Amino acid sequence: MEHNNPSILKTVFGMMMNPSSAIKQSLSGAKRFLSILVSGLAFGLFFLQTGLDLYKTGQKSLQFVAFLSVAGFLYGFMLIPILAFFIWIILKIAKSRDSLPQVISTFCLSYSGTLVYGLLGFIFSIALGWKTSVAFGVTGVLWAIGPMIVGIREMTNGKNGLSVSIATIISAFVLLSWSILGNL
Amino acid sequence: MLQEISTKSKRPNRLIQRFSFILFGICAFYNPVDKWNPYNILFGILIGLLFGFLLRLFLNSLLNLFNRKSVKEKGKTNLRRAVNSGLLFTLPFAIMLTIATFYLNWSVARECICAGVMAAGTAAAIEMTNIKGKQQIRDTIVTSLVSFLFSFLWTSSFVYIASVPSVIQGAVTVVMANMK
Repeated sequence: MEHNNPSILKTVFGMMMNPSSAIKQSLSGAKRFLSILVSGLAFGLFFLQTGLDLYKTGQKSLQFVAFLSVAGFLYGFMLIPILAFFIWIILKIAKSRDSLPQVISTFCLSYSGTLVYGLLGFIFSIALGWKTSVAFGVTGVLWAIGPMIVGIREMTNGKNGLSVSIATIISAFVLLSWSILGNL
Repeated sequence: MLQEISTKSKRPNRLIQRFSFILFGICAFYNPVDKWNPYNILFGILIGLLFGFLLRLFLNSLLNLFNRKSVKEKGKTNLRRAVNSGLLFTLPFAIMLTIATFYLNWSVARECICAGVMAAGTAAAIEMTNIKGKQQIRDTIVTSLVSFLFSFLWTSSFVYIASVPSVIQGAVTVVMANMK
């Protein structure tokens, strides 16, 4: 059977508009590396804005901004897939049939909203000099929760309780770890 | 027996929903200068529960209105289950808001409430799709519209009702002083 793989751009916006159908399509897709790139770039831009906000208030240097951007990219590129690995273990216990690459891909793609907000925030930060890390960055991370729950729900055949619990823990972890990195 | 199971499974769901809206309310009326002000907390709980109740009521009523055929075929319980499952999605947002407000000392109540209520609306539409077995864009539009209106109403009303707890506190202080 031949699958019609949607473009990464269509998947990114699909995750924001209609996560359920976008996830179903992405589960059969082959662009898994690009999905990790989505979360990498999303967190890279998010952390970059955090650094820029601190730079604008004179609290940190440009080197710190560069360090935080790289740390953000690595966070999205490596830590998010590692978190997805732990979720995959939980899903296996819950008798999910999805493979590790599928779980990683879905989990990383749930940060599509964060990427879009990150891009918008970066533009506003550079063009208008706004402080955007909370208004755009945190909002972007918040918009990732919905698709994340829907994704886990799809993989657990509709177990809302499990999906909500996992999403709550992951979101709290992301928020706290971001605040720690921003205060380095 | 079936009804008993349905009622049992509904209870923790409803409790979690109420808990989320209570957290939303408390964080919305949080005052960093007076963290544990009982008037702010109690008023926040009240407003949170009120908005949660109204959101559920409106989502139920509008989805019922636009899905008369499905409701007749599959019953009202399924529709309520869709809305209840959707509202469960507010929990991660409420927990994140609580951490942000009380631990990190940030004021992101508007963002968290907006995102949480919108996610709940989208989730209710997805649940409706699962119940009906087919996706209808009208459900997504209805739930998104109701959620947007509610999040907008709630967050924009902050400006007007933020001073209510201090007014109540002042009135109570005056009454207590007069009683002595």
